[in-house]
Amino acid sequence: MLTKLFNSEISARQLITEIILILLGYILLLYISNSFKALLYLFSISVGTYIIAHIITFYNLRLATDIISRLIVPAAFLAIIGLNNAGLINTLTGSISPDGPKGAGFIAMPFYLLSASAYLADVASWKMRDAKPYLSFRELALYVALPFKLLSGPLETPSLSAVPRHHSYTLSDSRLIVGFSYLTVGLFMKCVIGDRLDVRYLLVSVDPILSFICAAVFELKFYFDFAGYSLMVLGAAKLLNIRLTQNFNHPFTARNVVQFWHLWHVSLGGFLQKYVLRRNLSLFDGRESKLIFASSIFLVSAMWHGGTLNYLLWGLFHGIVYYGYITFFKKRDVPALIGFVAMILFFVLGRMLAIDSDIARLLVRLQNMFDPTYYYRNGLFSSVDFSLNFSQFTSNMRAIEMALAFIAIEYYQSRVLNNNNYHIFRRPLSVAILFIIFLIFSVPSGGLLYARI
Amino acid sequence: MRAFKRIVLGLLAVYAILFIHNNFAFNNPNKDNILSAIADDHSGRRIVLFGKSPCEFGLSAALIEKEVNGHVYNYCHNSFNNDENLFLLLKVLNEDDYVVITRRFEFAERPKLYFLQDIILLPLARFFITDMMRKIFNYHLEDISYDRFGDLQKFTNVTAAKANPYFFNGSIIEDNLRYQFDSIFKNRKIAPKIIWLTAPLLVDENTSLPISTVRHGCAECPQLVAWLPPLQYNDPTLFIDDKIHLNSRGRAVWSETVAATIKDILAR
Repeated sequence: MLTKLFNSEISARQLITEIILILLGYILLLYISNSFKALLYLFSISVGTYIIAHIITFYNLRLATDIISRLIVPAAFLAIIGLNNAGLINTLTGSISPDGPKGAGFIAMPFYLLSASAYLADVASWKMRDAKPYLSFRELALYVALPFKLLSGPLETPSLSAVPRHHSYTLSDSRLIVGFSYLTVGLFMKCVIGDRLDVRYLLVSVDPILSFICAAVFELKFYFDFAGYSLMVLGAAKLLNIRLTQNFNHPFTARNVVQFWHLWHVSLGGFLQKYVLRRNLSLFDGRESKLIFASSIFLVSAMWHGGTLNYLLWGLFHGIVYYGYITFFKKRDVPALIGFVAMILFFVLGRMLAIDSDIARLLVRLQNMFDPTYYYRNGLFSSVDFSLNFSQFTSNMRAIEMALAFIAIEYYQSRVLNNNNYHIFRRPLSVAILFIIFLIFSVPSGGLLYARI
Repeated sequence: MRAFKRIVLGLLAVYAILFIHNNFAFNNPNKDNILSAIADDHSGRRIVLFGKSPCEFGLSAALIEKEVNGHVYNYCHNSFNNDENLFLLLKVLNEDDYVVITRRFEFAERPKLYFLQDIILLPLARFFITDMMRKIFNYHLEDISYDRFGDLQKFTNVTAAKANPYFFNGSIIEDNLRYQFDSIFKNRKIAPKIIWLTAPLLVDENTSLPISTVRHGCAECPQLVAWLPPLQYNDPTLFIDDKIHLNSRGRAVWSETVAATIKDILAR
């Protein structure tokens, strides 16, 4: 009866599960925004996208379809930056600042807008290739509102997260084991390590050494917090047989910057590559201009992370490093030790730019860091208040030790055993140990550092 | 795979037990006798101290009772489900009684997904596990035993290293304070009078937080007699840690201040 009512090709059980998932997505949004307006916006985005998709499909507007296919996602990024600068929304990621969301009704809107625009870009692309359009409102609504997607932070592409037809949500033994093992690794990373790392008090310092330590610990915190809850949600989604991108895959074992971006925040990288880079690369002629365009994608990524000047610098930094690596180092043999040190500097300097939205303080910090006379004038440690800062720092030491041990095991697994996907941590004994450690030693904060919802 | 499945099911069974304890078995068994004593005491005005760890470490009912007119009980619960215990307590009190609620000053923005912390991520599990292990192995039982007032028996003399800097944002603090008031008063009829304390803070001697600028009015809280803003102590030797937990010296100092305040309120 239900399947007839919704004119669907799927079973009643699957239909009910999907409707429950959509409702869960709306309930989650209502909970975090405490605003019915947010639900209205989400529903409007789904309906509007559905109508535009039908217009694209049924009318032969070739130029408009081509433009939509290429530019709607970049336009959505620009719209988010505009709304952010107009003070209507905070980007979901943002820098470390105590300000909360500016408009509860608009909470999580960047996610929904980008999801909807990606869907329209796909519909336009299918239309261009005369492929069969993908136009079920239920599937669109599920893709936009999928609760796992919102919680984990990734920007899934429609083809990846779309639930396949004839899909089974039944929990099997293998799904239970795989899902639970990812969930446990995520719980350990976030609640045992990530939530213990907190060096916000060091942000006020412009001393080069303290700034370096602060950025390095923040880099660890971002990894363990964001990768932790991404893996938690990935595990929970696997229990229901819903495919999500594995957002992290031992990023600190990367040998170069290109490899790093294939291992860190994979869903955002894949999203930008698919909808901004590949769709528009043909507009540029010549290797050099294509490379400059590819490098400039980091500016789009930066603006997604936060509409502040420090993120612009962050985007420029990553764009220049990417350009420099492809141009000068990709085909050269760089000694392993130099590569290792360069990657650490890359992680830490990038994070230093990202964490401080006080641009004046950030510039003073950078000036001090690259000014050799700073050390001559002040001495190496003279401006460091060790008695204050390091007494506080010791409270993070246990977590830092655990984080470094975790990364060392990742390094061994990836480089020596040639395994990935946190395999060594997902073995039966490891899962039992990590879960018991989580139960006894977790300090859950309840906050998600990256997706500030 | 079969062995792995058994491990997963075993861990899920442990989680299920802890989940039930975390969310339903909220009463602190170590303080059941205090609640019974409060309920059985009809000899006059009852003053009950209530809160979480800042209260349990920071206040002594025995010291306060020496200063005020009435029987004082310590029903503070380090780590147990707080609001549920308060509602149990309110049921046995009447309009002549006082509840002194202690909460911490929340400087950080309240996470929107804090329900994860409270319900799913089992913040109480480690206390439950360590208490259980202590009872099973008779190990340091004095750490979880209380005197007839409900005061913690064994008290640490560890001292803090130095003050932690605070990120003071008035609107976030006011929002958190309003949330704390709402969680108790909103849509609820409360018989006893409430005195609200915010736990003292360890601050650097060169720092003075502008606490007087914090707006704390509560129109829907008719039973709220007074709110005492957090005292700012500069002496780390009063604290266990760098934030809000007092040691035995700090407990004596703060209890004396609180006793004087309660005495003043009772005299009005």
